Amino acid sequence: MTKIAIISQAEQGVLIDISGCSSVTEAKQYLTSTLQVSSQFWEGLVVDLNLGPLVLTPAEVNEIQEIVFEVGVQPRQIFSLSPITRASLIHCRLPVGGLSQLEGYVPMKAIDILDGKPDLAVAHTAAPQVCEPEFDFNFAPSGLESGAEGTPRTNSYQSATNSGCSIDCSTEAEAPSVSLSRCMVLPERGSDTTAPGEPIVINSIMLPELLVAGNGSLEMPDTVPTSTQTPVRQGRLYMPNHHLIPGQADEKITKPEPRPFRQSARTARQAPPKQAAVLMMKQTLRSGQRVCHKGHLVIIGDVNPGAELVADGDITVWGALRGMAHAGASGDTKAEIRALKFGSTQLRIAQAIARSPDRSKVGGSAPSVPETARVVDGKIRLSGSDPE
Amino acid sequence: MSGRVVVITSGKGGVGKTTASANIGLALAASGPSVALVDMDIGLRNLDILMGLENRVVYNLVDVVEEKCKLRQALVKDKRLPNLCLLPAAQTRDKTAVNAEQMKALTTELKGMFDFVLIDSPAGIESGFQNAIAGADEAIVICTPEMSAVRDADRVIGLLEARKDEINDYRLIINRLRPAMVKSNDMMSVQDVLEILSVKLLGVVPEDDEVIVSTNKGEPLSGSSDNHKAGQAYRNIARRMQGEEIPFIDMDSLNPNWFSKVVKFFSPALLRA
Repeated sequence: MTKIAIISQAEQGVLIDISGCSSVTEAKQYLTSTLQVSSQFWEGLVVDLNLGPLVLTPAEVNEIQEIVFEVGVQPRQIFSLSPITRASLIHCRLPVGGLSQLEGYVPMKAIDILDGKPDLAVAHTAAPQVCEPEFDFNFAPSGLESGAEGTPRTNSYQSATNSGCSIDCSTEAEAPSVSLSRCMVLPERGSDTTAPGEPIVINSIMLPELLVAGNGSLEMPDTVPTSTQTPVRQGRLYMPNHHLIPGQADEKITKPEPRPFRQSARTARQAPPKQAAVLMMKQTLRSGQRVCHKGHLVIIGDVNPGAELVADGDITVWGALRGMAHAGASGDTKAEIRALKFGSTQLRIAQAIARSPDRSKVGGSAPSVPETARVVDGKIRLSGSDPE
Repeated sequence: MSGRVVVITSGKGGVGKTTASANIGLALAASGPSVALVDMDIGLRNLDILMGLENRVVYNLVDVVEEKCKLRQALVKDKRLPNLCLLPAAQTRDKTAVNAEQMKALTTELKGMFDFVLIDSPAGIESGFQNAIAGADEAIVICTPEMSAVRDADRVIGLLEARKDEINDYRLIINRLRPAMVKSNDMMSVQDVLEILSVKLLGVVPEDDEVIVSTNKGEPLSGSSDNHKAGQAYRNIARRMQGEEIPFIDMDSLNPNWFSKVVKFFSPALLRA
């Protein structure tokens, strides 16, 4: 049921709540008919959209966006209970609202134009806030928070996921057709942060197998979270990229234009020092693909020549690093680059650049050992894998 | 009957896409199924030359898309086989003449008429390439064993992987391999290429001077009765595409040994076996 509100002051905004719809098609139908009933009414109005537990792929988000745009409405915030939908929204560069703000809506008497039934509607009465990226949607795959009994987790990680939005994990289990991939966001090692860094939605999927324990070491959980409740896919999944901006066919999508990262009152209580999380990708990067991340980067797979990795923290490649890697991109000279096999075209750490020796012969190379590149006296040096 | 639409692409230019399209098309048609070859290199059409049909071209792909003629009128029947047709590109237009939607409609129409539709893609990754892969279900990536070609093939495979919902199968053909140079470590081996690209291998075609001769004559190698190495490789590829499991040609057996070198010195014609 679409609930709308007729309000007297258009600046305050209206919430369209289609969370009651049982399917995306129904939601689109209601949305279309609502908005087209009186498009002049909607034009220029501040509108929020509540999708509720609906699970949407980026393509479906685009369709909804088109429906809304057609009447000249730009949604100010979009609320959703499902992490998958939120990822789709981020991917389509739409503003996602923190679910806490839903409580700020006050029911008003309203008329349901469609069915003629008076229905409860909501309208936003408080002054519209700047839509800020609350960390709730720096979600973790719900497999970890939902039901992985016995999985050892750091407290901080757990609290990051219980941040107040009640993600109903069962909704994810009902969405087998969503072939959306998500990225894993892990807290910084040794920290009790609850605010992981900005996520990067990329066309890959990862499994939540590595957890960073409090003492800074990487450890495998005793029980890998099973996928009984979540359809976390193994292997490679890719989002269709036809809706990307032409010219960026397979570039990784970074977060939409950054808004000031203001933490809401609730999260300020647990105020962490803002540290970025580790991004782990289990795929081989091909030529032309580029990953940028404000934090540590772990790639499980090869990095082919022509691919680029840029990270503020360390870069770890569990495979052959043949492309370009830039660690400590924001100036941290302590950052390191490590790989099982170095064949890199260029290595950069902070401001230092090093290139690989010129190729002498073509095929076959000497068997290599895992090595680490760090900056020593302003130059990048490769050494064995033992830390200094 | 719905056919298979296969796009033959590479990224880098000059690695053998058009040659492969002509040879594979001919080999496929010779074994039974009906095949349509589509030349998507608008403005720089070559497939008709390789097939020897350049003086039979009346209408072309752009005419079909602009609805100046029917598809049947534009298809050129091959002079050797009745079940092989060519849809030539336009020589006087350029890539902007068609768009992806039109290509999808065209390939859908062709799919209903033929068992195999082979699309010869132009080089590059921009609109010409995007148009060529618009209607395809499968892809064949051609690569020569050189660093530059491998890097470009990698890029193209990355682009194909991103369209996993449309193109669900892509395989690699390594073209112009010289076994002698591989042995002396002057050329990348098949293993080296596969290590970087990590895709399924469809076939390996050795370097063969006869390819140049066949291009000029307009008779693709796979159709000739002489047992040229490249022709045999293309015939094997055509059979693999239809599901047969054929072991790859042993590259060592292609190396000329001292005896054949002696024979070749005295009488080259004897070696054309």
